[in-house]
Amino acid sequence: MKKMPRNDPTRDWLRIAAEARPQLAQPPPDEPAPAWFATRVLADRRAARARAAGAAPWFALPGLARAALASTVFAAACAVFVLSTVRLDDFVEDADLPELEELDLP
Amino acid sequence: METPTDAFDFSACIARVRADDESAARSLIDQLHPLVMRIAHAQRPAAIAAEDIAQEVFAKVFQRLDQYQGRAPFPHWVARITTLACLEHRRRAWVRRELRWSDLSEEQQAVLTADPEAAAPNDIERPRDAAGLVRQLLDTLPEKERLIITLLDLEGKSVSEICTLTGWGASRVKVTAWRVRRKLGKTAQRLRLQETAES
Repeated sequence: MKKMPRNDPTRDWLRIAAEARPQLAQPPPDEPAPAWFATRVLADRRAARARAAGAAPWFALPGLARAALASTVFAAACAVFVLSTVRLDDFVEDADLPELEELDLP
Repeated sequence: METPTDAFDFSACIARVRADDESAARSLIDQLHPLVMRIAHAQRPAAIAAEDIAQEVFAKVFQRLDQYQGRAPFPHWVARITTLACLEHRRRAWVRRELRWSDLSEEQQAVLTADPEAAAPNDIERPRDAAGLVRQLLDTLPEKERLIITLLDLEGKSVSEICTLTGWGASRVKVTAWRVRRKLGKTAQRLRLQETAES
C-alpha cells in the first residue's frame, strides 16, 4: 500500500473515521418511547383539528372547489377591468354625431 | 423473517387513533419508535438529539394521519417522514457550517488531540467521542459529498457499490472522495491550530 506523507490531511480524516466506525455502527439504545408521547401527540392532533374547524370557510372547501371559485373571481375581476378601460367612443366612432359648434350651446 | 412490526395490524390501530383512542396511539408509537430512532440516530446532524427528531416526527405523523391513504405500508410512510425531518435539520445545520474548536465537546476534542502513533483507541484513558466529531465534520459538507464519504469511509461500501447506489461513474466517486477527505482533514488540522492558539 502506498505510504501517506505524515502531514497529509487525508491521514487525519481516515484516522478519525476508523475510530468512529464502530461507534457509529452501534444501534441506538433500545429505550421505549416516553409515556407522555401518546398523550401529547393526540392533544396536538385535537388542537390541529379544532384549528381547522374554526378556520375560514375557504379552507374548509375541497381543493377543486377552491380552484374553481378562485378562477371565477379572477375572470370576473378581469372582465370588470377590461370593461372599465374600454371607451364608449370606440363603439360610436362612425356614428353621425354633430360637431360641437353645431350644437349651439349657451 | 417476520418482524414484530410486520405482524402488527396497522390499519386497525390507525382507525382507532383516528377515533381518539389513546391506548391505540400508545401502541402505534411503541411499534414505530425503534424504527424512527434508528433512522434519526443514523441521519441526524450533530446538534440535534435523536429523541428530539423522534418527538417531531411523531407530532407530524399524528397531525397528518388523515393524509395517509394506505398506498404504502405505514412504517414506510413514517420512515419517509423521519428521513425528510433529518434532511431538513441537516440543511439548516449546513447554513451554519463553520466549525470552531469551542463547538466541540471535550470528548470530541480528545479525538483530535490524540497522537495516532501513541496508542490505539481502546487503551486511552480519556473518553473519546469520535462518532460525535465525525457528525460535526460531516455537517460542514454539502449533501452529495456527505453521502459519498459516509458510504465509502463509514459504511465501508466499495466504489462499485457506491456507483450502483448513486448512478455516478467510478472516477467521479473517487475524485469526490479524494477531495472530501482532504477537505475534512484540513478542517481537522484547522481546528487543532485553533486549539493551539487558544491554549
